[in-house]
Amino acid sequence: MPIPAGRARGGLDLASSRPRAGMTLFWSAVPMILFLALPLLALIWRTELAEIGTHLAQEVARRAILLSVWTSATATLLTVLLGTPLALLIARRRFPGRRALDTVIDLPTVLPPAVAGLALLMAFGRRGMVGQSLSMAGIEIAFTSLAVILAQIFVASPYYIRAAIGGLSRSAAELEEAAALDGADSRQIFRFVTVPLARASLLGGLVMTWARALGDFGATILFAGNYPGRTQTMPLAIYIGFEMDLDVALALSLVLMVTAFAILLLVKWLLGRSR
Amino acid sequence: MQAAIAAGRVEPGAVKTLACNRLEIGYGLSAPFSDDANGPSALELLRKLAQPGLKIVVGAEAVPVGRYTRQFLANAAEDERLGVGFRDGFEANIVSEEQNVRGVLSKLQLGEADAGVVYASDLIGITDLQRIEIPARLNITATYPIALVQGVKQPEQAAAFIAWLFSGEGAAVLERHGFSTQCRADGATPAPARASDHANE
Repeated sequence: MPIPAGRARGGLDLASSRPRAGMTLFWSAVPMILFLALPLLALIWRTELAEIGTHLAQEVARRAILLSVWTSATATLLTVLLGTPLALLIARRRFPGRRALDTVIDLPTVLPPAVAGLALLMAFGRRGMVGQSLSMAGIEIAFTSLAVILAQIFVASPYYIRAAIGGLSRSAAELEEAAALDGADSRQIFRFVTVPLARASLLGGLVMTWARALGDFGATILFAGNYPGRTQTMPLAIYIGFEMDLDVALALSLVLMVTAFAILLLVKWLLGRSR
Repeated sequence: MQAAIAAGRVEPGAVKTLACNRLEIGYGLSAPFSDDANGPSALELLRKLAQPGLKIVVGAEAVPVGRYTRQFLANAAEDERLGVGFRDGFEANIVSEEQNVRGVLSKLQLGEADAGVVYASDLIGITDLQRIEIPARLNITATYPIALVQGVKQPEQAAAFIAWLFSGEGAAVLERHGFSTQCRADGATPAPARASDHANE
């Protein structure tokens, strides 16, 4: 994301020197802009803004928001902790099966979320490959908040890992060698050279992962089920809400959309400022 | 059907009850009572659903099967034979409120949940699940109404299809799939039951 933003700025300069070509480009972009923006505007238009507070204060909405916030935050944190070493491995080392591993990382993003949920059940469910042994040890994951987090990590972590691989494979070798010559150990190099150089990619990927985790429906409902306060995240409450209380569903949809918009905008602004 | 009548597409007098359904409990091999060989009564099995540690899935309150389930629980709470605390015990065991019957069934068939509340017709033909009958005094009746729609292109064929459904042959097909046709005689105006979660499966 950060790179296209930089290019766009260059593109605008180019356009300003050729105003007519710039307008043609602008008008040919309009259909796509309208298509993307209209449904979002319609959502705002259809929601009774004056009563949104009342809807969100309802127990079901409050619990869904709370659960969504802490599960998606935990999923994102775990993704960074466990995903960064993996990204570094793929970015920096050459080994047999590297390409296959690299492809496996992309799989969850192309699979339908329901398949992801089913796959998680087959692995961690009560009769699953690992779940069976866990169950005998008295640990059952399905239908718990942990299942929500695992589902979110499964579908959302690839976004961070993919971005991190991109950021970390950019050649920082010279700077890293220089730091090593100056006596920095490998941890210091990682912390003060490698990570700052990849900052934009890491942060961009992190936000995409968080947003995807926040929005997951299919994997969650299959693997974790739907229970208020325990596994009913905002997307689940929205979906179930269609049948029960459309106003609450709309209010939650709006919150989800505005939050995502604000966070994405904030990150783009931060990244733009740092370069 | 109410919406069709309100829209003037269906004459209120033309609405007939086609079939009925009731709730049943489905349970899989994971249920701790699944190997009770001595064949306990339905009531004994029902009582076991309130024992701690069991995992039960039901439909969400927003969908018809979920509303019926809560009605059944309300009936059960006042039933002396089931015992005090049945409803609380049962509700404490609920681990998920699914968005449709399919969701309940798949959680049962995958063995993730021990028992679930579905329609009797849903358990027909599912060989890997056992059933517990819910006594009629605690059960609900879901009604499926049918009527000829006004202003359609082929009213004769539609009327013929409805007539066939009410024939012995039509009734047999419905019965074979777990629906009851006993309720047809009970009155021409069916209760305003929505069967929409069946319709959109």
